[in-house]
Amino acid sequence: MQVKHGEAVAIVGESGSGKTTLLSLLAGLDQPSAGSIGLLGNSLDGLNEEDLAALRRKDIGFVFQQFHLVPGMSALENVRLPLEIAKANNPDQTAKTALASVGLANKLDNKPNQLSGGEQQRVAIARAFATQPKVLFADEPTGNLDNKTGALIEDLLFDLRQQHDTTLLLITHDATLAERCDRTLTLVNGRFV
Amino acid sequence: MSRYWRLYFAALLVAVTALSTVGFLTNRVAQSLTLEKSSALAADLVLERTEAIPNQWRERAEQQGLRTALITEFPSVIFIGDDTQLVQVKGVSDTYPLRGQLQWRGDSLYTKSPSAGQVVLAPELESLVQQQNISLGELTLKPSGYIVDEPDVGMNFFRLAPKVIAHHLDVLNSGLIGPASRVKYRLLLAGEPQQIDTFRKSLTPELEKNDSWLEPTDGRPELQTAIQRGEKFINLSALSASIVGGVAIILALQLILSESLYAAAIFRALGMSSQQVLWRYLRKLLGVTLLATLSGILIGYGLQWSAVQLASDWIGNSLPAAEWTPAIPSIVHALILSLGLSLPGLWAIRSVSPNRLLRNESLGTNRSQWLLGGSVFVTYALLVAYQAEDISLAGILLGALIAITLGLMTILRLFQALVQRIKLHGAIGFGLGAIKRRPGIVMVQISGLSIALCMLLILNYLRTDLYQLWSTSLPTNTPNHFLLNVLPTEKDRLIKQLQQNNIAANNFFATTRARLSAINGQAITHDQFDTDRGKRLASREYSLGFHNQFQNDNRIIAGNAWRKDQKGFSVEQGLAQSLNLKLGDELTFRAGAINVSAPILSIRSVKWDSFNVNFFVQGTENLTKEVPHAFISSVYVAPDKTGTLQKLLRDYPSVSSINLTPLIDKVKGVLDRGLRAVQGVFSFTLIAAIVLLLVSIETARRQRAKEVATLRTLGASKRFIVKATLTEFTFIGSTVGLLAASLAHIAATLIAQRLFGLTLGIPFSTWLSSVAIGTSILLVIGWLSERRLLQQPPTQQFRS
Repeated sequence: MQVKHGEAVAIVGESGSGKTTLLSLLAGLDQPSAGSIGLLGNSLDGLNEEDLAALRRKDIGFVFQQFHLVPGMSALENVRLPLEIAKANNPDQTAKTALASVGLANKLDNKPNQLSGGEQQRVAIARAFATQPKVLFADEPTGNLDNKTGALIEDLLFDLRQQHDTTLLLITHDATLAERCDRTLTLVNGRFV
Repeated sequence: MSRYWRLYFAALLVAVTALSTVGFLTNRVAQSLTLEKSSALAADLVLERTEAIPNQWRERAEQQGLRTALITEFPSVIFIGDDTQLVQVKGVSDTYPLRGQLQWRGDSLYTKSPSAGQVVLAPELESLVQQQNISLGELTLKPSGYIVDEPDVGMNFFRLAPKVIAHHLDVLNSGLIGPASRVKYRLLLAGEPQQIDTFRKSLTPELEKNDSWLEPTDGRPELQTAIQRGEKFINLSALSASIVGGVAIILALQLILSESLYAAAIFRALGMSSQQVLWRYLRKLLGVTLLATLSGILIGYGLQWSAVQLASDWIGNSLPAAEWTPAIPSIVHALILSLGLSLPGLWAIRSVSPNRLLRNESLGTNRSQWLLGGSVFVTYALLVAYQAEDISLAGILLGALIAITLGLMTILRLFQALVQRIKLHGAIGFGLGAIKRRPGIVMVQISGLSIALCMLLILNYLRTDLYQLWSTSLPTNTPNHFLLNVLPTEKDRLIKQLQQNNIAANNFFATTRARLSAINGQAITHDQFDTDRGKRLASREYSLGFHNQFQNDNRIIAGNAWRKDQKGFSVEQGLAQSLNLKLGDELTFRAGAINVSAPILSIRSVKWDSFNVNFFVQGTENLTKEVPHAFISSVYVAPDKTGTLQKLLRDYPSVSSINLTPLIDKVKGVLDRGLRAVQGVFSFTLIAAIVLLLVSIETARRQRAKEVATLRTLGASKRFIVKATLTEFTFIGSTVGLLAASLAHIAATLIAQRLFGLTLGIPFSTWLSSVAIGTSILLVIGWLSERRLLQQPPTQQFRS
């Protein structure tokens, strides 16, 4: 498979078809046992964990179905975390702007357990876009949310992607969400059909 | 069984194994110490009187299942060629001794009582007797050998001249026993404690005024002190193993609670009643608890058995077989521990609301944290009260627990406030932020590990430092001979001769035998004292000592040092307590036909195991003008100079020398045995602490794994994660080290002072190294656990 810069690609398939595994491999979170992967002009083959981490730090963002916010840290601290890791300038202000862009300017100090599911996912999206990544990987971003909240999150995701000119690879069961992407790839038993 | 239940099982298994091994082992050692105590009497109970022991008494004891032996003892003189020697004759029956062993060296080493026609002598008589026959009254006997070990050597040795042990019937037939002889007859008894007690109660009404029962605690005070120290030390070790094991269980139960609450909420959502949900967990808890307890007891039994086999030169291979009774405290202990500590968890499970699960809220409650804290203290108070027979020991340990928790809460609060204020960023900020992200877990980790490390340090301080103190309290030149009955006219000449022969003598005390006849002018009667000890002390004869200075090991507790012109007595604190004596009381002693009266000017403690000449009652020197007296002193005689001393003393026929070496060896033996048992027990505390460390790391494992996976997904470098981890563990480790080292210092000093009467000086460098050790252990363990996380792909960590 090949994905072009700025393209939005949906990967669909039944549970167990290998969607999440594919996403992990593409993002360099897991090592392929065979085949090769190229990302932003770099071959991932032979890159060690440190090189992969550097690539993710610079150019990649993630949004997960389970949000994966760090419990015990406030919304602001969660969004500031990737900026601190990347040693970005003025992380506090950037994080506040990112949270404002997802409508959470008034919940900066709330911890994950003080936020609703939709709000937690918005924090996760703010965190993903805070470093202005070139590629965003999203794994069932609306899977844990009700339809109304899911729709809001979808809008937010696509708006921000538009603003930042980000390439999007998205795993979903949701046909409506898949339709908003430029193209859809279907996986069955680990193979595209 | 899920992972957390397996951990709980392992924690409880280790705790019960440690507890029951300690229980079985200490039971064996305690039995051995009891035997050691009994061997100081050569029996479990002794009846002493000045009339012969009626035969029917002995028969009655045997009918009741007791073993018996007879001793007849009195001072006399033996003839060796043309020489005479003052000796203490001791006739023993074939069954002597009932406890301990009589060893003597003839043509080989014998462990038996002398048969008819045999006589064994104190080793100090060897150079005098050589191969000659000795005349003992009408008997002429060839010495069969010299005493190596006499179990009841310590009994009343102030009156002992060198010992001559022969068969009981030979002594009775020697013609030495007449109406004027000062003979003591003893009936020795041994058997089960209940049988002993029954016999004692049945015979007591038939006894006469001067008959007295001697118990194992009536042995030499030197030996008693050593035995008491051994027992206290073992109790302390057992307690520390149980506390450390208990903390591991608390943490494992917390893990189960966190896992079970979600499942319980689901069960409640599916329509289970709260009782059904509670019963479901209670049943599992009881099942796993019983399984772990029984397995632990079996392993404990096996371990103590092999520990004794492996360490026979340590704890001695003559330990009695372990009884199964220590298993009962282990079961009770495990049940109190498990149920007591899981109660808040069970309460939380019972009252969990399914609504909170749907809303994805935290299922833990603040109330349950307080309940946990409360139940931990109540449980430990129960356990400590149950296990520690020593109230002050229990108090010190509970105090240390409360101090750790309070100190910890304060430190964490301060640190939280500091982290908030300083706003540290980057890896260090993330590492220290753990205190904010998971305050409960950090608190539990720090307090648990502090307690474990504190216990290990206390044991370690006491183990090494107390032993050193004991060793220095018995230095190599500890007096090993007493010189008795030195006449006033001979004293100065003897001191000079001793100096010429390089034999160092301590102070010479004037001494006389006397009975306490009146207190404050009121004649005393046997019945006026409440305690058995008081009654015995009131009727016994004392060796009164006279000197204006006290031995170095004496400490004045009440009253002041004497002025030269004063007349008075100083009384040992234990004696003062038993006889209800206080400062200013006028004591009257009757020495022969002379009465000596003077007030009590001071009450003092005596370190009996110093082996100095010490007296229960010491008087001022000017009182000696009123009573006939002789002198006594203690000297250190190097082994190669024993012959020199004996030769020198030939010029002083009245002087007797008593060799203290067997008694010193006995005291050292008891201390060594107690100490080695503690070292064995120490290793169990260590194992429990390792398990605790692993469980405590496990408590944060899930959250930590998720954090690491999130950080790596966000592109954090290995360096960032390692730095954050090291920061977190350095904080936890140094806090643990700081708290544990400080508390261990305080507790060890208190324990040494209050329980052992010793002053422990722990240098600052030891405190510092304790802090360093605490930090290092945490850093190593933290790094090992984190390294595993760094090796796994983040997706795997998310999925797990």
